[in-house]
Amino acid sequence: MAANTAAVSKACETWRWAFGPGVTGAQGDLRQGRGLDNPLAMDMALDAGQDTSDEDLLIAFGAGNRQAASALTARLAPRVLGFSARLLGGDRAEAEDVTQEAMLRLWKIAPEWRTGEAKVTTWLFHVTRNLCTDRLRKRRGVDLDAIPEPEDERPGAVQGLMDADRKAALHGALQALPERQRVAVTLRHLEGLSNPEIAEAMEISVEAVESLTARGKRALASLLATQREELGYADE
Amino acid sequence: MPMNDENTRMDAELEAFFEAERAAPMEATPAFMARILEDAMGVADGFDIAPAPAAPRRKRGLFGVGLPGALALLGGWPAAASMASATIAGLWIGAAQPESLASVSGGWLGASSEAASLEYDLDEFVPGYGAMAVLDTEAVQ
Repeated sequence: MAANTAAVSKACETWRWAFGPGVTGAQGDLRQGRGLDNPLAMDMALDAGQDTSDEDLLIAFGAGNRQAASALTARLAPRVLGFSARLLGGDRAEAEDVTQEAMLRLWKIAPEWRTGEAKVTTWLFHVTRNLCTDRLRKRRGVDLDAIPEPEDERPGAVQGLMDADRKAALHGALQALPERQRVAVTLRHLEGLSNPEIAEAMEISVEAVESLTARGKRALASLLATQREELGYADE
Repeated sequence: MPMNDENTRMDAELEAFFEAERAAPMEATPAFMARILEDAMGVADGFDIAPAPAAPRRKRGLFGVGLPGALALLGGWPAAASMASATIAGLWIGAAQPESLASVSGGWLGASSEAASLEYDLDEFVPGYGAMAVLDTEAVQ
């Protein structure tokens, strides 16, 4: 019987070498199909650290690494939400819808993502901006004078009230801008993108970006100067 | 230059507004983040069902198919696991003593039995087996 046992265990050992320990289902999710060829996908730690680029995470997700989606969601979804909220004048429901759609398109494109072509963030901003433009076209009768209510008023703190007012005033003023100026100014001064990144996201030249931001800021300053008087702020 | 001074002043005034907005972007709720992740898992499910993309991959193993290809050919890991069980059972039977075969398979392989009329002889299924049985008597036990 000892020989029999040895033969069986040798067979088992060969089996494990060939197919790995997870085949019997003990290790849970076994979606090794595409991940095996991508060392990054399978070696990636469950909590992908800050060192892993957006692109690497996205490629790993496209190769079957589901953990990568958690890291990408944490990094990108809030940014996209903030950006779409700014373009849409602070409407949460619409901003969330647009963000969900943009992220869905990101997940779907993951398997086809090629390195060195675009940045994940600029791609996302590009998609989000187009979705927002579609939404704005469908809106009827936009009241350009309406300033949305500030989301978090902190009564009692003067600075907090002033900030909330400023935020609301900026939202209103942004909505009054032509769409391309609004996008350029938002990407530059609110999302913190560089001019080349904005150029990539908007599919225009860097010169065009500079022109749009300059005109946009002049328009904003003019609109906000009027509101500053209305808000009663003295010299600041 | 007056134009530059004006621009600088404008920038400074706007900066207070930009700062207020940057400091308080619309926040993502946990429920919202969960929805985004749920969408991701749904898309990932689609990756597993669809065949691998045609991107060039370095294949290893026999016939250039590699392990994931071999598993796909076999029909996935459940089928491969069944094959593994059959393989191991076959190895076990091969390593086991011959007498046990008769007990496992009943009367099919020619073991003597009083109720022979209820059982089929093997050469009813395999014509010519009876002739081959002559050679069997010389087999090592």
